[in-house]
Amino acid sequence: MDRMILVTGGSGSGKSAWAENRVIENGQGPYVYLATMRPQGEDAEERIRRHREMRVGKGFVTLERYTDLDELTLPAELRGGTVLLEDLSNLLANEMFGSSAQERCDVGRSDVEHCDMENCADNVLTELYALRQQCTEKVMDGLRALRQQCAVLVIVTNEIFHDGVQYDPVTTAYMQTLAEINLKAACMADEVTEVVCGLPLFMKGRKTV
Amino acid sequence: MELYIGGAWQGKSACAQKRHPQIEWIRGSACTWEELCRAEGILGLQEYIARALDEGTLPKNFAEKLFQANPELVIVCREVGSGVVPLSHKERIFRETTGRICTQLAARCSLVVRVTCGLEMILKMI
Repeated sequence: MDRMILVTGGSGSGKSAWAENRVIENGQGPYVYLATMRPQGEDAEERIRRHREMRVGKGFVTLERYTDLDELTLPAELRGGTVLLEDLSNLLANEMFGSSAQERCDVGRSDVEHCDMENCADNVLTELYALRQQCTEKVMDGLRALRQQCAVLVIVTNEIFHDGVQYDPVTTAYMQTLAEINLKAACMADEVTEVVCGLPLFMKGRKTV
Repeated sequence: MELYIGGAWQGKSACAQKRHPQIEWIRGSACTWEELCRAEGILGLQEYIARALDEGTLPKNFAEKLFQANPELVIVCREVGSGVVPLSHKERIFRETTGRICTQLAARCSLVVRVTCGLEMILKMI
């Protein structure tokens, strides 16, 4: 069945494991694990190792794609199955703060990162606003392109909006962009689930018991 | 009284405004206690709380007083409690006060909705 499923949750909520099981439960192979995290730094490597172990024996083919999802063409033998995209927060960070993003827009400078919303220069806010629009479009184009190439698309995203902290303008722009992408993806999705302690809270498309 | 809560930029205001297209809204960033007492709807109650704490004008028993003064009010407020305890006293007080106020308001509300990714989850309906 043709389906798009959005899975959200906080750090360590068990959303990845739940998403993997949701893929397998659906039973529409081949299973493609589309990883967005750059293997840079000890934290990332450890996380990637843990996720790889989690997937052993589940029959996933792993592809890595850090940016430009809109330009990705899946190999013919991997089309028409289930793609698990993990995850939007990494993909967006790569799009906004990766090297090509820096060329597109002069944000992410340390002087901007350390000012706050009130004393941030207007031209920086304008630049950030443009970057937000651009990155939202870019990621949404990517999701639409990916959806064309598989029967079931499972997307993992991140809940980072409940801590009540006022961040610097660059981080705020990143959060606003992720929120906007989450809203648009939820709107497109047939199913939206928040995972809490490994348990699903169905917000769209299925009923919580 | 109705309460719409959720994380930042989750579409809380849009949900509340969709359910109440006719009413007038004031903003927490700019309103007074008196305006709050006669408003139809308020967006961003957390901003009023932050300002009132700063100015020392937050009424004691705020939630109960607000309910008594304006029992039909539709409230949109950000959830701010799920992060590391802030280092600054001011931010700690803001976070805890906002959470407690929402809890007390929710107890008085006939409808409490939590919004995530633009989707409503009904926490209370009577």
